[in-house]
Amino acid sequence: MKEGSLAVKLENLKVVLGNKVVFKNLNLGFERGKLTVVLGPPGAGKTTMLKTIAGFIEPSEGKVIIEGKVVNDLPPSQRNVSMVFQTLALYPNMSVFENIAAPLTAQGLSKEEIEDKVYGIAKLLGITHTLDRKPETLSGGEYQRVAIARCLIKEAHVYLMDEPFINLDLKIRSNLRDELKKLAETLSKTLIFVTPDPIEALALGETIHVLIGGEVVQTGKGIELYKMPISLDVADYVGGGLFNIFKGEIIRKDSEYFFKNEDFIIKIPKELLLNDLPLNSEYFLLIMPENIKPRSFIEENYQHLTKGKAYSIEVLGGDTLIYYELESGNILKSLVNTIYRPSVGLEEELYFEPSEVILFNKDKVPVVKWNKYT
Amino acid sequence: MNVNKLLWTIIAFIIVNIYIFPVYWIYLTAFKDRATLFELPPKVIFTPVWDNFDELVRYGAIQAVLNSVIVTGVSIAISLFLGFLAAYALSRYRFPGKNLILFYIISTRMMPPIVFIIPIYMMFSYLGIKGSYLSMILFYIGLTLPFSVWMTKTFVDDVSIEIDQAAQLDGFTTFKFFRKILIPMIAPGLVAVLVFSLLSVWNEFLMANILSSPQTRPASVVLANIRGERGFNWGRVAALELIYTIPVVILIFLIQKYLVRGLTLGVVR
Amino acid sequence: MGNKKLFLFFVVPAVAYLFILNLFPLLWALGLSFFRYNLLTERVPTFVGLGNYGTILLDPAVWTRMQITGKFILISIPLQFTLGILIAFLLYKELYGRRLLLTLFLIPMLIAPVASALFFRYLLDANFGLVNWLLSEFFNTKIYWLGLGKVPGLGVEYALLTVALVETWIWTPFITLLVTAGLSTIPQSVIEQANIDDISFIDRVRYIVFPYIKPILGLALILRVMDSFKTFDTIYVLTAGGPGISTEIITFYIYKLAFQGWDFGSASALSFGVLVIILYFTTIFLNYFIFRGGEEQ
Repeated sequence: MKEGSLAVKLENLKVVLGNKVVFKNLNLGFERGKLTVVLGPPGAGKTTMLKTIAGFIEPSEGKVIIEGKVVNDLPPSQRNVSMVFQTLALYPNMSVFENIAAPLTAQGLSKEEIEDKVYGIAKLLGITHTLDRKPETLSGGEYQRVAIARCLIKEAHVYLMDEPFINLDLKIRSNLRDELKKLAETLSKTLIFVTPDPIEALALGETIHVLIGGEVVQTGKGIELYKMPISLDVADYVGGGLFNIFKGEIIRKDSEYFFKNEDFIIKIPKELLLNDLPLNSEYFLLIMPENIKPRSFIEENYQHLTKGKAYSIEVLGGDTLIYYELESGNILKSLVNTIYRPSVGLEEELYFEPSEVILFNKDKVPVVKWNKYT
Repeated sequence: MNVNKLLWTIIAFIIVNIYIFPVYWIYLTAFKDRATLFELPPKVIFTPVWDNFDELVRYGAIQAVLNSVIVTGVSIAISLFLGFLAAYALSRYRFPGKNLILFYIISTRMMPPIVFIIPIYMMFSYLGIKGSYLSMILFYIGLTLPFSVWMTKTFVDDVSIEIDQAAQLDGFTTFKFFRKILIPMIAPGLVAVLVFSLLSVWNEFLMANILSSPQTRPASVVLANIRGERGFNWGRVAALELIYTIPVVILIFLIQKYLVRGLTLGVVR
Repeated sequence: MGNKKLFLFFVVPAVAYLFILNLFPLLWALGLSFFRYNLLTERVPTFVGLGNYGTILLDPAVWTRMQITGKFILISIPLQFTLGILIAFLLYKELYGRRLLLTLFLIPMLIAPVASALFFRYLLDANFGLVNWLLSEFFNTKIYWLGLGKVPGLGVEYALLTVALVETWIWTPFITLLVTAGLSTIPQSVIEQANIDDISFIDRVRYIVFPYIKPILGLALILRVMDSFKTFDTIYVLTAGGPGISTEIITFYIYKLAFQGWDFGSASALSFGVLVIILYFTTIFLNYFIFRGGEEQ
């Protein structure tokens, strides 16, 4: 990314909250006019990052640069940023109209101008019918949209959104996501969107920074994180706990590599590997549920994996996630693209797609090639 | 019409009113003329007159009530103001010694006033202000501040700090934020603090007795010392008591809704 | 809104004020207690170290007052609590205008103690009071409520009993208020279960109500005992400590020492002694209730 295209830049940032060092030495840039996602588990430092950019938290070291200017000494009100807070923080004793208008009233605009802008943004977000009401009377989705309207109504260098959809149900979330994406495109504003939910991050589809333990461990588009995770931790997190991760070792036989654990031995296609694999070491094998199927559902190229006993299913839209218990007691998840209800205890042979597996060494670093996706 | 409920209501009604009968009796007495006052058996039904109240005004006893109003009004206005600022800072900001300050504030509530009477008397005498409104006001601010700070802080704590931050981004100055957003949000709590402080000062006697002069005596002092007064007359005393206590009674009825919550809040929390 | 340091200034006025009007006088009083300083006999205070405290401990006058204080507390506290709890139960029932009744019942607590004491002085006047008139009409007796006569069976003078009764009248609503708050914390589901299981009233009180109001009662007990030591207004109005010394509870005695005897040294020492006692009881009770309460959780 070119320097000049960055709306926000964090340089060598060190942030300490109480006794905890949240960021040791953070370097991160956010491109102008784009929606960037910061994804990370609770405690990773997402809110801290936003609040440091906004100016509510002071870094102990390092610089916060907004549109080329170092803003460390500027209070939040002078940094030209706008924010949607995790608690949404609407003013309960003011009407929705007054809430949305609040950022503008301090700017000395005329009454007509304010009215125009408020109606404009309210129309964009579909909340014109709520303008005369008080926040406590709004539904969850409406409340959220008012908070977003208040954030977007003013001109700012960057718009910070702290888990804005977190407590809403899935359908509303998906609608709001689409609305936000469209808004970001039409208004071409710089948005930083923070969330702990990998599904949400992937659905937004834009550039994602994965923040774990105060460090950005990987940056990329959703699909890259999913298929080419930089570490096992990233993979596990992005997979939302659904990925199958097996611990085992590598053995070599007839110049072929095999991954072996208590449940199965499978061949690792040589074409996948970057280098030779050291033996006598711990390895992790990741297979995504959609790449494991029971016999009746297998496609070309699938090979036999192991035998498992079905014990639980989850229906996800048109797909079924089936939990199998293996002989060792380990659990394996398989995803089929239709509704399938095996009876509990049904023993099935399970097959997998060998070219889609990801192998990690003992340092949790992938040792497979990515050329398929570049 | 639930008969059981009605029955218990009547029982409760009778018991409660018997309990507060002394209040009714004095209020009645305030309207009795001289002759009726001494009649035995004491009359419950009679022709009410305003004589006692007139005499109060003529004797200048109304000044006492006025003094109460002045002293109470000024001291709680200042106490609430200082208390609010301190409560806000203590709630929102981290600074050295914060916990110590909080602990100190809470512990002052436990001190019996008797420990203070001598030093305060000496202090204010040296300062030459003993007997003035100022001495009482200064004392009462000190009396009500700890509770005022502590209680207000708990209400401010309940407001998420992100509201403050949103207001910052929206360009509100601190005092505009207080006026338009924070205070409206904690208004019921502030009412509770106001009422509690008001009662503490309005009803106070010990220090007022020590610190006031004949010109600045509030009603509590006048009433307590009434036995030795010339022109002592139960009718007039009753009238003064009525004027002194009625504002409190009216206030209680006005804020009935918040009463139970507000009063127990300070104790149960 | 700006600087964080700015907000330190919000706190400084309040803290400075409290230092000057609370901490400073407290320390001054402590200092005074180490001196013999009687405005009537000595112009200049003399340092006596712990002398005042020694004198107090040996002074029979002080012990008599402590006894009077003890009797006072032993009469008024149980009365307040019993009455307060009973009325709380009564007002807890389904009633029309319940909130109104509770509000009415709170009046004694919220009006000035001086005023309340005066109400009773009028009612209990030996010759013109309503109470004595009723007594003479129906029982052919007259009681000198503020006199030295001993109450049959109680071993205290009528004066002390009257003061205790007036204090009870004033503070019973406080107990009722707290118990009502405590009762409101009983979950509806528990009440309904009790109704279904048709538990007797006594068992209901023992096993359902009591656990919920016990912590509040404990707190109320500490507060009320501590406050009882500080009783002043009612005594000043009703008896001024008399007749004789029959109603001179310890804090009233301190007041007399200070502003009639002008013995600032002894008065300060005594007030600190009382403070220590109060704090001691508070810690005992707090420990008891924190421990016990903790276990039961």
